[in-house]
Amino acid sequence: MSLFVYLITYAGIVIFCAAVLKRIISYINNPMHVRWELYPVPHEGGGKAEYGGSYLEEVDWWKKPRETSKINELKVMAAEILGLKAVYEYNRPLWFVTYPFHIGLYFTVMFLVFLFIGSIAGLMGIEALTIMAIVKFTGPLGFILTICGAAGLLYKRLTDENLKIYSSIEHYFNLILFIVTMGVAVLTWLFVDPDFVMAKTFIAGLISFKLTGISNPLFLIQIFLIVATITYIPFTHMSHFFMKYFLYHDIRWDDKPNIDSPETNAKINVVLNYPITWSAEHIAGHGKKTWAEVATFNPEAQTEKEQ
Amino acid sequence: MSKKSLTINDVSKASPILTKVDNEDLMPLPWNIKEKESKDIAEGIQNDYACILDDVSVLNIPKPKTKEEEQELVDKFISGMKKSFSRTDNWTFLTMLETTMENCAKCNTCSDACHLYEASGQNEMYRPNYRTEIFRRIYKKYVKKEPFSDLRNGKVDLNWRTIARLGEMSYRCNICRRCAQACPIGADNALVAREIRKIFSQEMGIAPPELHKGGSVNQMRTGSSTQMNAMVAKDNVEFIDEDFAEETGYEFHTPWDVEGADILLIHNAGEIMAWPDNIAAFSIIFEAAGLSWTLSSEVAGYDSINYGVFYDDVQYARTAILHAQAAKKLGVKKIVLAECGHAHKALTVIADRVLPEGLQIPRESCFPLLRDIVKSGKIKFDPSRNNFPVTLHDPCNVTRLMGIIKPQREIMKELCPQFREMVPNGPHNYCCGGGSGFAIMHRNNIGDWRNKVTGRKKISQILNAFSDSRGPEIEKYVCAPCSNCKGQIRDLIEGYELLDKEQLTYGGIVELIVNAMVDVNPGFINWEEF
Amino acid sequence: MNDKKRVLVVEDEVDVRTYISTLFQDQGYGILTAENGKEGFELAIKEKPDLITLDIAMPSQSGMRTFRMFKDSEELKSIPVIIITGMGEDVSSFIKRLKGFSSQPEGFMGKPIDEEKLIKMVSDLI
Repeated sequence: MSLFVYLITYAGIVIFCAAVLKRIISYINNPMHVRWELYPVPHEGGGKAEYGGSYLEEVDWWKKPRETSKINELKVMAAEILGLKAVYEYNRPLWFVTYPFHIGLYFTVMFLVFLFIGSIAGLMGIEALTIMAIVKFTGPLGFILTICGAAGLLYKRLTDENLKIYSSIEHYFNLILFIVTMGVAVLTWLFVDPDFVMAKTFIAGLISFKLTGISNPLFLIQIFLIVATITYIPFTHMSHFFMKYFLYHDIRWDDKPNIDSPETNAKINVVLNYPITWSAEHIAGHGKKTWAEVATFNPEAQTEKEQ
Repeated sequence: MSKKSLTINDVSKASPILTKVDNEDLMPLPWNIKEKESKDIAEGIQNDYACILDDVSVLNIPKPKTKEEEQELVDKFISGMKKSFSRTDNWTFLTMLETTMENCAKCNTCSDACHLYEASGQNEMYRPNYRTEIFRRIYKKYVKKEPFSDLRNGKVDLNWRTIARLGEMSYRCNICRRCAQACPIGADNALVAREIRKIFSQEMGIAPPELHKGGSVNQMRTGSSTQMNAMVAKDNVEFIDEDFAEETGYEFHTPWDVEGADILLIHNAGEIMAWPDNIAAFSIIFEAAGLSWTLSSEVAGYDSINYGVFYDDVQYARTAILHAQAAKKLGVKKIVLAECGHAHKALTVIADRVLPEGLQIPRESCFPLLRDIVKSGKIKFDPSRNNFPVTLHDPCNVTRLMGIIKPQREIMKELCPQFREMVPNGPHNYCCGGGSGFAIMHRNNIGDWRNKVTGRKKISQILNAFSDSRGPEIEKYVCAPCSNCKGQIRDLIEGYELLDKEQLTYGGIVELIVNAMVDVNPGFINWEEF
Repeated sequence: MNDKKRVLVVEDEVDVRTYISTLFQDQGYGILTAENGKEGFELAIKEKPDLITLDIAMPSQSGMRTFRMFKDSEELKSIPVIIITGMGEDVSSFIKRLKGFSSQPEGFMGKPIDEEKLIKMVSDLI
């Protein structure tokens, strides 16, 4: 049984990483998109970000050095990641339930990270008391907050008429999955593994490929559920936990202008030579095959000449 | 059927219409203004077109007459949707569309950001996520073919009604992207509205007549969507020069086709006939500042509009290229866009990754240039001539989508002693209600709808900005430095009779600048000529 | 047929010109045609038609300028002019707005042409 859970865990980690990578690679491999930024763009320098300004506020902006501020960007990211600022500002009632949910998950992730570090330390013969203290704090806190948040979200999705319309079986399933997984984690913590010794042993076994030892069924169910949940996440809209980076940095905040950029020009050259197959008459009606051919052709001017 | 309890699958049902907004549903206005009754859609239109969404018809989708035609509508849409997810056919927006399809948590945080949702009394159909959700379910089931899609994403009944309503629904959004700004994840429901419009135009050949046939096609044929050929435009501008030189006592001459000038100024040509004051004001300011500048008489060179931005990437790219070619032909150093918001975004931002090498002439907004002129001291001003309450409308394309916020305000603060902001403003502004092409539509009852629903939040904001200066005794001015916004605000003022009741007029920013010029006869802005 | 009223059709597009001419011919009017503003003005001076229909978007000289020339001419200013254009109502608001135009067109017709309305407009004017 223990061996089976170990194997599932390895498989889960591999699938999770592969799924995340697949999404990221597929994103990166998409062709260059047009600029579609939304202000405020926080990396705008010179105090512009504060009021939503941009370098386009300057005459001859292409001749002037661009001031950018990485720090400002990090500040906005911190508020968004740690405070869920957008939900706080635009959807306060939801924030009260989604915030504990997300913070619970952050604590759970911290728990896993420190448990991992603690396990490595353990393998090296170091006791790492501080690390384990953090594990003992973040774990239960994370599990409980996640349960509260997920229960709150589930309640909202079931009772709020507006949300109900947009909620599919998957939404309910996901939230229940979190409640059950974290619920089992809480039970395990309370009744089986209060100091996370077993968990530490399990991780150490995972790292050192000593796939033996743990036989407590509740603990094994907990591992199974956690692995299943983690593996499942990148296949759902919850992939936003990493895709959000691209949605913000590569779309919303991507205001990089093309000032004689050989790199951008090469990409423009690529996309303009893509074939185009849209069927409407004004596109397909003139025998032009690529974006460049279609876009540099004025069908109306042609019609007049023909007449 | 209760409007609030509309479900996703109601969109496919055989009901005569999906929903409608009645007067009593509307968000209340701050000044207790009586609502007029809206006209119905004309009978002829109801017979020929699928008017099954609500009581407005913007897209005019030909009504399928047979079962085969019904099926064809569905098939063509699906075929177009496939192309929306093709890296070659939709390289422009594939990334944004895909990420919105995959990452939205359906939390409805975007809803309250939408002025249409609010103005309509929270009608479900206007919720930014409603049309996206239908689109997403179709995509997942019929294009991406996700296993267990019904369970995972929710069910969707696909029939011709779904498609016809979805198409029409893509024209119940101003594409102002305020919803996208509110999205915690970065999904973009406004983009989805535009992508649906693209499928209808690029694949099915269906687009509102004002945008396509009467818009971008006209521009490519005659040079301008107004149908003014270069000759008419030049003659009209010459008449404007003569007239306003006399009126202002300031002699000026608008230059055309000056090779090697520093600046090619491109107006929205609609200004020439609808707001000649704006054309004159630009010429007066540029001449007074001693700029080296010109207009162009090339096809599209004198009309900055690019309606493709609203509905069609191909028409968009063609127009952007025509603009750049006009500048290249004259050998100017840069293009300056006059007061037209969508043209700003189209040519400065979006074109940045569309124009090929050789056509990448630098492009900028007129607002920083005007700010620098006002602040340079080259022109003498008397701000007391602008001593009336003024508020500033922020065109979405210029502010939320380009980050040009401060230059306009610096001008206002310099020249308008009674300037006051609307709330909210800057990048968080509300659309005027004319955005994404609606401002130029007067067909049928579209005008009523624009006044009641799309422009409701804006007129409410305008009224609130003037709450300290009520009544017909105090002349008030809404500065809306964008042709489409101006058209919409004109219609709002007319519709709610605010010129008579409140002495409220509107115009651009250059009019305020010229109105304060010492070298110009006083009274450039007046409240008689609306 | 000396009392036959004559309409001068100034329109650059041959199809539209023929279409309008035939429409008026069928109503029993005499027809004069010109394919640009300059020619139209010269013909009007020479022939003194009873009514002029005028397109706006024409090459070489715009209908706006031609209209001004008609109305600035002592000989022609009393002849009613109907502007026929696809440009919409903005044309008339522009003419109203600018003081340089000494008078308004007597009629205004959008494109596509509403035949009945146009015929009525002409018969009311002459």
